[in-house]
Amino acid sequence: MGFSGAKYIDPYIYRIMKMVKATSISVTETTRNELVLLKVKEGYSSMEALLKHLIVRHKKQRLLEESDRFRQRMLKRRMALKDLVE
Amino acid sequence: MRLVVDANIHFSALYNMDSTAGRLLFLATEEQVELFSTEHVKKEMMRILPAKLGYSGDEMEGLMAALPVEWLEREIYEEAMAEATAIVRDEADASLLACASVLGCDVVTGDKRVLASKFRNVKVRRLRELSSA
Repeated sequence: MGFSGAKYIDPYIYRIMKMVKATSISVTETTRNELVLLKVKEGYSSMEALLKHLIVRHKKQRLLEESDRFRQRMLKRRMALKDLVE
Repeated sequence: MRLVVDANIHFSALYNMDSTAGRLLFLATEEQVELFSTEHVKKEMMRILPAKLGYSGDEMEGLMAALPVEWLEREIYEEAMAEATAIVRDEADASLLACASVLGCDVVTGDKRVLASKFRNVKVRRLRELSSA
């Protein structure tokens, strides 16, 4: 197995590279306070852990929304999954 | 675990998020599994969903962004495409084999042609094999 493109970075390596580099984000004081409160109330070990959890929750919510739309369209057209891939 | 997933897995998941396919996508949002798919599969989905389910451009964009999948461009798996196309004629199917070969991981699909194919060291698995593993 080999790579023909010199610019290619393995996605796994790229993720590790991103993980080890910490950075900061700018938010208003109100948002910061709300995040700190949420972190304490919910017992997160760090702001990183809280934000990570919120991101996962958001991604799951988005998936559910998309699933809802998809299912509604399928039902409306009385289609089965096999009709899509034929 | 890293997997290359076919369009039919995305469709199964979207149809029922409580299904095995749905759970796989949820695991990907938690970064417990890494899912990859190809430019070819993306194009296939972008052709099928507007044509068969009336998705608009914006809706397609939203859907693609919501799927917890890394879409790999053709250049990444190009070197294996010619060989893979000789095994399975359909370009989207071949792209799954080529991509998995380059990344060194398995393919998950429900497509019989892909399931029956033998390409390099690539393992092609059904979703239910994965859940029982």
